Amino acid sequence: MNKKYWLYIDSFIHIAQKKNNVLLYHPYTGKILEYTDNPDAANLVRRIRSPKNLGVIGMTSEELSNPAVHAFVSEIKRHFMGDVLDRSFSDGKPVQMPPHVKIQKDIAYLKNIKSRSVGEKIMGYLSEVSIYLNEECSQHCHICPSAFRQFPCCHCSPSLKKAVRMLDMEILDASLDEIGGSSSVSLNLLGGNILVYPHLECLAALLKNRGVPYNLFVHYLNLAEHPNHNASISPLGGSPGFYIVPVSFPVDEDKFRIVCEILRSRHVPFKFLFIIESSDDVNRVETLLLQSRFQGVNSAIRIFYNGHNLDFIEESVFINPSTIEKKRPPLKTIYTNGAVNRSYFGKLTIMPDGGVYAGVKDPCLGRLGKDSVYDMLSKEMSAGKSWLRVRPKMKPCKDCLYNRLCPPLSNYERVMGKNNLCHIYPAG
Amino acid sequence: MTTMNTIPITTQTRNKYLYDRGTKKLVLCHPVMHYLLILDREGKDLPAWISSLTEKGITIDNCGPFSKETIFYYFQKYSILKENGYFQTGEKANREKLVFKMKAEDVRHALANTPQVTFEVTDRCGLDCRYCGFGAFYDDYDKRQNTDLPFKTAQILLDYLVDLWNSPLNLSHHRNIYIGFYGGEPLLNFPFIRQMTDYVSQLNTRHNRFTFSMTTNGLLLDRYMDFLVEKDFNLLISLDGDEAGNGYRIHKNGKPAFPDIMKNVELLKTKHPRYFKEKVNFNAVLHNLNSVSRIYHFFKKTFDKIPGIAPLNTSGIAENQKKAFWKTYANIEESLYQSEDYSMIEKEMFINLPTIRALSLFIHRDNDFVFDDYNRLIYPSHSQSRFPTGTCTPFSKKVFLTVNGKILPCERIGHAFMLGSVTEKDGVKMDFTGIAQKYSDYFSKLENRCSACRNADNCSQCIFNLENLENKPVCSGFSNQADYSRQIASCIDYIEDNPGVYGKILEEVITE
Repeated sequence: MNKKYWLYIDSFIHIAQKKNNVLLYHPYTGKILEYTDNPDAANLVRRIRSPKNLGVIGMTSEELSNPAVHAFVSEIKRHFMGDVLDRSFSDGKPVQMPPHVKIQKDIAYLKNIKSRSVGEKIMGYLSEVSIYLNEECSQHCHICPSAFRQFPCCHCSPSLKKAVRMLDMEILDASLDEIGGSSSVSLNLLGGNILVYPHLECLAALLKNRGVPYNLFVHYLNLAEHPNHNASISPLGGSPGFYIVPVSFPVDEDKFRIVCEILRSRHVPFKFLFIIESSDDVNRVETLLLQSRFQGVNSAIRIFYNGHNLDFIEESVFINPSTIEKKRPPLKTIYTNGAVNRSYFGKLTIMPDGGVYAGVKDPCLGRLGKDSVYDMLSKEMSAGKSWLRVRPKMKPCKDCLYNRLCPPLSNYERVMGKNNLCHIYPAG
Repeated sequence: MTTMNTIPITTQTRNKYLYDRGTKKLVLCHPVMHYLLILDREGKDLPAWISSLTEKGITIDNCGPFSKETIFYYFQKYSILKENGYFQTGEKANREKLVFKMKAEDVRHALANTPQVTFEVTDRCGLDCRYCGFGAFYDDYDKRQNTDLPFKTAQILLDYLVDLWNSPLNLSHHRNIYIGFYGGEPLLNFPFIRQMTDYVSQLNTRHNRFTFSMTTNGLLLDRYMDFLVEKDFNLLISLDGDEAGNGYRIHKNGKPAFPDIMKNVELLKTKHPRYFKEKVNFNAVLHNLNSVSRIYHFFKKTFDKIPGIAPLNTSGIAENQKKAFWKTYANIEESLYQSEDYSMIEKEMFINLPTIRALSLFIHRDNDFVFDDYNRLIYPSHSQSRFPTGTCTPFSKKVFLTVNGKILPCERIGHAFMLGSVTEKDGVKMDFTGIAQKYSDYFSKLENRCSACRNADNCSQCIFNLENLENKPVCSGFSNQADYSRQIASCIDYIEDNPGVYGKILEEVITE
């Protein structure tokens, strides 16, 4: 007898499909099933995903006995991704609520409705502003010209012989009114060497007064070589923020020790940011921090692409299916990856000339003092290149089944001019 | 029985599901999985129970026998879900999410971001509708004394709001703010409307633009329609359908108003066809003299419009009027399903009907993939905490100014709940701390109830409509496990019967 069944893939399973290629990902176990050039599996999944079927299709025992179908169904059952229900269990077709990610203030929607605006609650999206106060610095770190394009890090003018730019304090003060309106915003203050920015104390006082948290970025050499250590620490006093101290190689251990002692003795919250370019650098950091005098210091590493260390980047940054299975991105991350770039979203960078950027590799959104921050954020949301820069919209990732499972596009990709830092879709 | 966050659901077609409030996931279930959930909720030790079974397993009513191996398979699946946040206890989850303490900043912030300011332009009205919110049925409003709202009073409030709109507290840019005119019949105080539109047009706001809107009974449209068209008003005309359905809409002298209103509406349609098509809508009140079907067909045939349909307001009814009120009252769903062509009407009226609105809320609020904005998508904490009940944060939807200078968060709540005042002498009096405290006090009275309510995430109950709010408020919307289960099941029943509605709601409906 040809018995009848309902076949479904559970609504919590992430499904990606490109023609006859299918990927099923179980967010609770991390298991990935991939079907490449498999028309049988692709047809079943296509039918299940058809809007009119709401995630459930009818099957007969004859259809289920087809070897390809049987293999597919057995596999999804074995991995707790779907099931087959005997139709006699109920009197009608069951349904599922397949996840169609919907943001009610979606930018495309707001753009199309005359009575709405892209700018609705726009300042609420601003979460982090990195402000480069000056370009002045007497160090000669080799990372300086480009590290700041990869992660927040100090950066000075490429040519100190030219006029050194410095952010106008009056303009900054006026703009802080707009920036500080967002209750969840935090600031990073960077240079150059911000300890020589003449208005640092005044700025710190303004921020404390407004209750805006901020972090200070000072290269460890600038901190160590500052003539008055008390003065170098005081701008952070009373703020809930951190002293973020970039450390580039080679490390001057004596100066590192001095900085460590200063920060510890003044009870300032701090974090060292080791900028590494090779496996050897990783070992050096480990060796350094193993010394008893440095044990317990708060630190993080930032991988720096210097143009010659692609092998190290591949080893450290590149992703493959097994790393995804191990990381087990939750459903919400997958939803986010299709809509916004978590690395960029809500962040702005202001350069010493007042230029405002959503990403340091992106076109300037406007100029502090001339353009309103509201306008610049609206511009980024409606036509920008960073906040909504997601893999499903970018080549070659848009053609890859893993595009919502991979971490968001990062500055590394921008700097290297290659979106797929992975071992999944290498062809692009 | 535990207060588990996951409920087993069986629809009318006997399909089995589990709905988990914690993860906001509806999971289609094999009968065995469903059975395991029921046992778990009863406190059964599942591993021990499975161990005690013979290889033959068990028989589940109407589904058949299932072997121990099958049961073990579904237990594994069940365990995977459990390890990932399903099957937690409900009350704890509610208490973690619900914020019972409102802060002054919450109120100030909501006011700086309010999308609408509505003026009760006058309490005069040319009609004497029997069911009027300011009529005999109700006793929760200020006495109607033929008062007009002085322009100066409204101007003072607007100036106060402009300062907030221009402050950094306003998070929006180029956002539309609706300036609404309400009554009584607002067109009876036309000089106010003209003055206000002129004043608003010259306001210096950095981040906002304005749109005018009005609710009118239509009696004075012939005089003022050109002005309304020129100012591009969004116009909502109150009309209860055909002539018989408008039996309660009468002049002061008792004569029916329907012919006069219709004459004006027809004139508007003829004189300004494009405006009529784009900017004019109708709202009908449902009662015992009309029906959903008649209302729908009247507006569709006469004006090619889909009207809004509202039931009578059931709060604030005077004690001695309750009998008469309930005789007049009609339920929208009951009325709809009494009509022969309800399926077509439902499809056409769609979000204007409570069934679809309830389903839309379920789909938008009880699923893990719908978000109000990008922050709620990105940051876990944004999607969690909220104030209890369905009460809006004051002014987050609207600021309403009465003819007597009382500031309210909405025109639908009793005037006794004023949150501030405006006078020419004292200006705007608004105590944000006091308002926050007032709301917090009300919320604290409901803390135990809301924490135990299964429908707390989806609540639409406004505290100001609760009986005995000042002492021991009674919430008629409270849902225990069984109520909640029924509500979810009815939503899924509807989707099983009308699978197309799921995608249509996600595509077309916004529920912010």
